[in-house]
Amino acid sequence: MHPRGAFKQVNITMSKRTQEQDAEGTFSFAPIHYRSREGYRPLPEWALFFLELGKTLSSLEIENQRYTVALALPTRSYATALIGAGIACARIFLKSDDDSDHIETIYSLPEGTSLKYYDKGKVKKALKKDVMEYNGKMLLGIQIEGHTTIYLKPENVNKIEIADVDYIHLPNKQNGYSVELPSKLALATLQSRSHEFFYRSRIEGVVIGPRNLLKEEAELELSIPQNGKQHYSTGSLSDLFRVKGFVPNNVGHRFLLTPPSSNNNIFVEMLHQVSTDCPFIFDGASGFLRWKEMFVDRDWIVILDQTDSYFPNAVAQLNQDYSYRSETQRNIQLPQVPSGIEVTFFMRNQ
Amino acid sequence: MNTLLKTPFDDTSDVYNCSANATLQWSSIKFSELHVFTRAVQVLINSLGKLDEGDYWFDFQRRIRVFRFNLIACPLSENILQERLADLLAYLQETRSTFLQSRPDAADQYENLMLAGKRLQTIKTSHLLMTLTGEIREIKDTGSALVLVCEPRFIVDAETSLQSSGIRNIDVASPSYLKSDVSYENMFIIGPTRWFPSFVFSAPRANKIQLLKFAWISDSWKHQTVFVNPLKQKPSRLMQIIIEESPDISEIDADSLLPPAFNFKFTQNQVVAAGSGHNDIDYLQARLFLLEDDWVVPLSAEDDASILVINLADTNLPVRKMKVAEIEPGIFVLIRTTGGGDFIIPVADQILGPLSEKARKCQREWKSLLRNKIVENGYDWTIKQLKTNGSPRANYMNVRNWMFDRSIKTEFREDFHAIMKLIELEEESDANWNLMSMIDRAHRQAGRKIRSMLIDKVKNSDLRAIKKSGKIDFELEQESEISITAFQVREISSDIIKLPHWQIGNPIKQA
Repeated sequence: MHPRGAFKQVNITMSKRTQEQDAEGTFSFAPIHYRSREGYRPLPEWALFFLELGKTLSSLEIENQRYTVALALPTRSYATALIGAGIACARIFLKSDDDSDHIETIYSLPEGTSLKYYDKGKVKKALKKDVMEYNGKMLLGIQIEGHTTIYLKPENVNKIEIADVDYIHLPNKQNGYSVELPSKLALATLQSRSHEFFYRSRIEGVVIGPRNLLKEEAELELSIPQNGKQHYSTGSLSDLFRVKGFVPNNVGHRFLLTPPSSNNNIFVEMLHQVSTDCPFIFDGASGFLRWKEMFVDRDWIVILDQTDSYFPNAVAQLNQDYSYRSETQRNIQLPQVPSGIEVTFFMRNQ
Repeated sequence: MNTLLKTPFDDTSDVYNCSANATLQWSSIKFSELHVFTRAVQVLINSLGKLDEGDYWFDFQRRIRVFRFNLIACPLSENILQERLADLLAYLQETRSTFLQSRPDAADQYENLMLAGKRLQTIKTSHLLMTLTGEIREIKDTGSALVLVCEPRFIVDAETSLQSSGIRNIDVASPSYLKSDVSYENMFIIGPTRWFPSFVFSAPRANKIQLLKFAWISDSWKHQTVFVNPLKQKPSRLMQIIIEESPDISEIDADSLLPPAFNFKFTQNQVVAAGSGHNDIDYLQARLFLLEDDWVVPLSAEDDASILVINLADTNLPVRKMKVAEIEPGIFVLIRTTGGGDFIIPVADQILGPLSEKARKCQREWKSLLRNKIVENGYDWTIKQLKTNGSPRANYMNVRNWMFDRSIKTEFREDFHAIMKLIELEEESDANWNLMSMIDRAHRQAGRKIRSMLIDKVKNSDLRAIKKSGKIDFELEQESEISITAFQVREISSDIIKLPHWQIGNPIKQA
């Protein structure tokens, strides 16, 4: 064990880009309200804390080190969903493709690549065709049905996403499948990034926790008041905490979720699917105790319910991990931790 | 807190509000006659020395310790108190001559306990209940209230006693109820802090917590962080409360009053001894589960073992099969307390009707013959023969499963035919396969029926009542003689033991 005095303290702030977003006032969770039986009410302090914690952690990347954030809570309810929403929303600004990057990626795809074309609340299968110059603009050719090619202006290329599976052939005629439109809540929160957030899958984290409970929690109705509370931009927590299996298959997701009782193969597969900068959220002591060793090279967010029977074991494990923490410790700038929430944060060497 | 107007998110928010605002107060109750009785019990226990479960006077010692604990941990009405005291005194009287002969060294202590009990009998007031009802009346109309007792078995007595004092419509629960997102304006905790899990105070579910205990029981409480070096948090009111009682006022340590803890090792040894002496092939790996209401059940610790459970936290799928290895304390396991623990077989037999006798006889017969072959020749020979007879799936695990009662038949016909050939019932192979298929279908039908009935019952039950008591009985409507009980798991043994397969799932009631 290292003597505590020997640890170096380094302050970490959020990346420049996130700070800019904040400064512009384009991205804040503060206006979000939730639906109570008495109507919409501002999110309480504890809920905002979880969103902000997710936002802070989203930009935390330190070479050769991994972080552990563990929270001892009076109840596990909503913590994972809110932290996950905070991470996903912050990362869309932090790691979002610029429109120009997206256009370049789509234009450079080989002809015949399978695509999804989102238009007027429908998604249709499409194949990439040629790129053609017209009136000084490069137009993207896509085939939707039969042998007809339609050409899209560059500003409409954000309606195109690469398909998850290759199509063997296109139907002769297709009306497309109805697709969930970005909610008004997502539009108000994420603004120009909401289309990408809704339709482009990118894994930002993995949750090991109770599927049914999390699904119920993700259905929490949220809103942002507009025009002096005369109107509300409504949606649900699931619009921001986008979990594969909770959102329809034809739209994008941000998190993978598996219950702690899943078998070893599922976890091994998951390990290969997600990049090393994706944090693992352990929702519950038993999932953490059971699977932590397998994901030792990832960042950990550990949600512990004080009423959980395995809570003391998980705390003992975390305190032991703390005693073997990295010599170089970091301070993160968190909002004040509300009453009833206990947080520990430390770095681990990889 | 108006529970009728809340969403689940409001419930969670109220839990956080309690964490920030909860206050904790102490009420010490003087009851000198009970103090004398408590000490008399302690002196007698001390004079008996340290006893193990196998010792002759262990049960006697446990009984008086449990009695004492019941008296000081539950707000009992005068009637119940008198009734219980009369029972104890009758028991002491009955045991007296044997005790005095066996332990003359502790004769004085025994007589003193009887005297203290008789003196207690003359007191016609229940001090704990009186103080509690007084406190409840004082907070009348200032919000919701819960009485928290340290064990579920006290709930019914506490409710009855409160009702007899004119207090109705008040919730009484044990700590496991507080694992859900419930919250109250007032909570009355009966007994010192050390009788309750730490989350009752570190994750409080009420704004005002009032602790009621006897003055002579020592106790202390102070907020403590769980992590070694946590980040600074907004202070809560509880963080500023320290209660430390002077040892000269409260001389009896709270822990010493607890009844003997459940001894997994001893029970394990008893269960293992009861199942010893059989052939090695009849044994399966098992683990003991301690359930609410002092039941213990050995459940299979084999990899694929599963059991029907009720998970009240999962409102979408409250009744489902769960791998035994994944069961955690708090989950309700479904057990039949009579008839060997299995509740599918009797229902399946009712579905089979008159055919059940013939089908079950056939099932027992071929399994017994297969078992005999394994006993006589070993697994390797049996597997080799089955393969020669055309069974592609004969291996150690499968043959073991086919032999045990928990499986009805092989999945594929060629494996079954190979077994029939081996046990020289080849000619009856088709008829037996048909009978086994009928049992199999009846089992599936029974499983579906029971599951759907349970889902229906759970959905139409007061979940709070189930959570509070940690136990619920289900009567199968059409088969009224079959009842199933959902018991909340309290503790799981870490040891794996070997038991004959017929003992697994068969619950045992602890004394």
